[in-house]
Amino acid sequence: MLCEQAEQLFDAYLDGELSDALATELGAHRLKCPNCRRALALLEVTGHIIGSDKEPAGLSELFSDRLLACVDDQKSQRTVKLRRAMYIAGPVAAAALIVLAFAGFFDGRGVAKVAGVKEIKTQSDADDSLAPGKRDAASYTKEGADLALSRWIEQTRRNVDAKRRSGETLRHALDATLHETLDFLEEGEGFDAHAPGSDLPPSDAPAESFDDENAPDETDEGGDR
Amino acid sequence: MLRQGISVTGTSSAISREQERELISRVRVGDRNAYRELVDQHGDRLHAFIWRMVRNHHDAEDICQDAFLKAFASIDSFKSQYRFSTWLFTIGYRVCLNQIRRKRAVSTDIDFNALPDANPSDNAIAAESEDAARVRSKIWEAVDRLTPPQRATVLLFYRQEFGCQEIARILQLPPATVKSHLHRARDRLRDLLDPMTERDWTCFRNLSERAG
Ligand SMILES: [Zn+2]
Repeated sequence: MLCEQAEQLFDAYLDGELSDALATELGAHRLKCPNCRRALALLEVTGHIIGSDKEPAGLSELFSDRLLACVDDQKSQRTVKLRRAMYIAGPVAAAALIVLAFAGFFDGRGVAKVAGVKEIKTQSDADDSLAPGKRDAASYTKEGADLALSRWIEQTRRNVDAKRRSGETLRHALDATLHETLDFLEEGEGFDAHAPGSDLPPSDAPAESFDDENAPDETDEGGDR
Repeated sequence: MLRQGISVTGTSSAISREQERELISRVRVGDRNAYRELVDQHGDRLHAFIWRMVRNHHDAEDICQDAFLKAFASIDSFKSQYRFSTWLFTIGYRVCLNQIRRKRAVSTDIDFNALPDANPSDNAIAAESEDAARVRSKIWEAVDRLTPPQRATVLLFYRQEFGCQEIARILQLPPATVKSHLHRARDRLRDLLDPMTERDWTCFRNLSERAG
């Protein structure tokens, strides 16, 4: 075996994917070739140290307490934001739905999916803390609301379209969009690449290539080592 | 054989898939204890990965927190046929990349000479021989010089013991690309570590023998 051939087997050898026959051949070459011996030893030790070196430092003790405090914080903020958005988005959710319906977003199963939006609308109708008299008129300008709404409708169309293609339910698509709108209202910014959620991974297999070349029970792959 | 299965990687496999599913459904209804359990199970492991990616304790903890918050906020979209750890690492990796990009925009390059000093693990291994410590730090320095996807692949493969399919999912790349990252990372590590002195090399061989 030549060094060149041996080198081509390094990866498979290091990944434990080399057949016994080839492993024996590589082993024999390794014994008599100082260069390959050195190269393999280097890779082996490097892998070993990367895999086993002590951790620098763990999370601080208060990490989970702090994290849970943030979770609580987020939840209460979300409620406030949701209410504010309902004041604006609620009355128009129906309009957006009509737009979507006419654009042909709903198929035969659409009725169940629409329930998600109906919920939103009902919440806003029932929430009397948002009654006109109690609204903080200074918080929102009409232009801001209009802008948010038109963006919401536009973004919803795009989201729903994209998510339907990836098999998401309409409910999830609308949820995601609503949250983006909330953040828009909160921060006075448009929908940009940094919108929370936009950097979340898709919850299902991200690229088509994953589905294609996968073993039947891919989810357990490597899980129990 | 070469990933000697030394478990530095926390306890995530300590619970069954069944228990994990139950835990997630408790998180979905806002059970605080379930949040805490998930954090306890995956926090240190995720933090270790992130710390090795960004090499800054403060940033690592922030990123870790961010990743958990994002995971909890979108827990409804988690598909239980996947492992929670894979999903969490996917989010963590994304947040890491954003952070690395932002930092790169501020300072054009990382000062690699400064890294060993900033490495708390130097203290942890002070008891070890100076030579061995030097070799270890050379290796980590070389890992730091890999591109972020190469570094992530190497860490997930050797340190977190994920399989290639899982790494592919975490990095959102096709498995073949993950393989090629691993291959290029090894080439680069060889290039970087090859010019070691004879003294380093002797020590390296000793480590190698201990490694089995
Ligand atoms: Zn050779």
